Amino acid sequence: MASAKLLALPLLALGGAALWAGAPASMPPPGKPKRIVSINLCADQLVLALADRDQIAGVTRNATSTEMSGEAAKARGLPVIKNSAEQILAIDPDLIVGMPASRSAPMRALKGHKYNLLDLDTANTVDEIYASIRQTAVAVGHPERGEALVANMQARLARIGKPGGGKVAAYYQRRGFMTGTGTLIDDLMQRMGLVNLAAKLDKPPLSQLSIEEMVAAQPDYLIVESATDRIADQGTEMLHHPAIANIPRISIPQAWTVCGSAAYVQAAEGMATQLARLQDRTHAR
Amino acid sequence: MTISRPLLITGLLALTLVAAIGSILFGPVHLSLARMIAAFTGHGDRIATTILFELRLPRMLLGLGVGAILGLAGAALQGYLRNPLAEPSVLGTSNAAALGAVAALYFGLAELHPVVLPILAVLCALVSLMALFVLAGRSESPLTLILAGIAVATLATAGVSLALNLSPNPFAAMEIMTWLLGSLENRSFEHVWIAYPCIAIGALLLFWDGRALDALTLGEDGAQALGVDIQRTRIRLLLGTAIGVGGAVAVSGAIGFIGLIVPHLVRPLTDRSPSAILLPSAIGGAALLTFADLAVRLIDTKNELKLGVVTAFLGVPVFLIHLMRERRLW
Amino acid sequence: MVNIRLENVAVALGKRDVVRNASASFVPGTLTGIVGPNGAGKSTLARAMLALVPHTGRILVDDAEVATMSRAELAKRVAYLPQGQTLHWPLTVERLVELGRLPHLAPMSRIGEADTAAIERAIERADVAGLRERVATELSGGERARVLLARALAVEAPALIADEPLASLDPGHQIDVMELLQSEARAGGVVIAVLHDLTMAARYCDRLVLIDSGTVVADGTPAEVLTPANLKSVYGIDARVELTGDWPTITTLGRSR
Repeated sequence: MASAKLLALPLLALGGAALWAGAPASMPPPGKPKRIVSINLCADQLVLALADRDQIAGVTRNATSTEMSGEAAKARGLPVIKNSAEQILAIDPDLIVGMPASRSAPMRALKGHKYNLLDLDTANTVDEIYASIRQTAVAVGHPERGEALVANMQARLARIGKPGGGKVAAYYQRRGFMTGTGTLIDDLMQRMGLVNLAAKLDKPPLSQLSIEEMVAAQPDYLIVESATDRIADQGTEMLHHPAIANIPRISIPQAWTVCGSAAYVQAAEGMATQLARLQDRTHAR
Repeated sequence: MTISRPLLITGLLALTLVAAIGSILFGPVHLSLARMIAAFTGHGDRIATTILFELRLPRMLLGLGVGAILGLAGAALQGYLRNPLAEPSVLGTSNAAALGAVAALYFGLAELHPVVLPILAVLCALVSLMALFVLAGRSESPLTLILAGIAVATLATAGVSLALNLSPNPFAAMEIMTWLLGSLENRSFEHVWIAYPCIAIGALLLFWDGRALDALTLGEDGAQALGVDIQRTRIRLLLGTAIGVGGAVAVSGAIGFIGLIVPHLVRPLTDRSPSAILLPSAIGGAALLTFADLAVRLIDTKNELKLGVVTAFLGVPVFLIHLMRERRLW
Repeated sequence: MVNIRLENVAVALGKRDVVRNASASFVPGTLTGIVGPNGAGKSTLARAMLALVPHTGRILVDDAEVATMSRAELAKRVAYLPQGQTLHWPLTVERLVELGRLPHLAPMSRIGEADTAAIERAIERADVAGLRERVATELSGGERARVLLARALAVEAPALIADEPLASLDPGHQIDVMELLQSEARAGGVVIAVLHDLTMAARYCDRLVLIDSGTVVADGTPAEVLTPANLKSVYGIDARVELTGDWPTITTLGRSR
């Protein structure tokens, strides 16, 4: 019975597709999603960089903040999700991107419903960033953009070299918090050829270092968030203490380093430029 | 158990000296004695010199200055108000000053000029004291004053929280604890230049009226008949407390208990007259706060221990023991 | 030596006219008693004389209006023993009496020899030498009264105004205090005492000023002032007045109808 066999094939295909669609998905179905919702600031960065504007149905509250979001300009004008399950329900997205999406709070509230979810992992190295970019690009239906972005990033990073020259640097935040190994900042520092002070002192990924200890350690550079250049509270005031005023500083906007995204390259380029300038100054003396 | 005044003052000064030296000797970084001596004689390495002169020295000076003015203000307020529970934080003055400082810092006003910070702290302290005197100044009952003080303190604390929540700076909310419990961490000489003029002026005004405070033993009529100008005394006291405590709080946050406890501790060692406890309270306050600040640094905790917590833990048990033994309030 | 003169003095506290139109003259060497029923305005008048409440009319100490004098100046001329034995701080008796020297001390100075001498004299005269080291707040009512009087005497001002100095004292101590005030007056001072007790007033005062509802009703020797007619109209009592020795004795018979 040829006709029966002919019928069976599409049926099987349909069945297979149904099974596939029915399974709790962390890989969305192929094709371009038309209503993408991002529920995480770092996911915002990737979605904004890789999807078309009319594909995006919702980004997080901080996406438009120039202080925290590298793609703030692109996010302006887009609808904002305030982490509310209701809003997501109303939008009825065909792709939800999160870090992760499946175990997040709004998704737990919407447990009964079936959505296509993309779970991204926190990127702590540049290779992990590339992986996230590729993952997201495929999910939003523009895999070629992902590849192009990765290639562009690799090319720009290759031009930077290792301006740090083995010098010691510390990433110093408000209230004396210092970033340690296994973080994106650390990856950035190593790329620059800088030694992370936290690694040298064997500190955990986040620790607090008093000014006295910083003075005693005397790193060659302090890397700070550019928002802390202005004294707005006691936490930032501490970074301007006279005792550490003599340590040369590199200032990088937090928006470029808080998430593993394409802004990594901007951070790296910014650091390299400032390192070069500071080294010229020391050589000139 | 009165001891002679020169002996008392000398003893307290010695205690303060010990506290001050301890404050210089101890810190998160261990400096050998040899390095410290080298630094003090001008031959030290840069690190030791920086740590000693730019970090520990201002911190010690502030511990002494802030402690002194808090102790003095407590003694003066207790004398004037004839109330054993009076002191800047109980009366809400410290918290009001903290509100002024927070407003200056977080809304960018302090950027106009560094002097804006202490001025706002002093102004808020002044307003809170005036409100207090209006609410409860005439009342004979000590209770009214304390209740009014609680009202003012609560309002000021709520104001601090509100200001921090409204601030454009998202990290501001984390600093509520520092402002309301006090801290001398990471102070620099800039803070010393902000606080010390205020403390000096405040102290001068508060010491001025020692005799008037004694005369008030006889009540307001009796004191006036002895030549005391009650109005002027009140103004000097208001200004002295507001300026002194305002300047101190602007750099250290609101630290409680010093002004309450120290006068009570020194009183049995004097002839119990209000003027006699002014100087010992100032010196004792300086010693107590510096010791407390030392404890903050010696006790190793994950998050920085707040000064106000230590003064509470140090002060209250001592206070209670003293109270039970003395069996009387004065 | 000072003279104190009141000319048409009126004092209003809040909305009430407590003292209306009081005129009197107080000269050195006399102990004057201000007497009258409760609420007559005696204490208020005394306080007005020390510029503790504002007044209209003139109160002159040696021809200078008290309202225009500085507190310090007035304090040196007129000493005040307030009503009520207020004592807030547990000072020693010696320290307390020392307070009396305040009007004479320059702003930042310590007490000097003259001051110490004055304090000693005051302690002697008030007979509190045995209480010198005691804490004033722990004394009995009578002892406390004498100590506070010593404090007032330590000022060594030419005038002394005592408001109800006999309150809560037993008869023996009452006599002690009155004798002390009398000897102060004999020594040349102007002594004014607001008194509740007519018997004591009659016995010891050289002069009495009888006040009722804020006005001066009678002014003269005790015999002139404490007549049955005055007692009836001011106190509302029937009384018999007899002259025993130099002073009148009053026997209260009952309420007058």
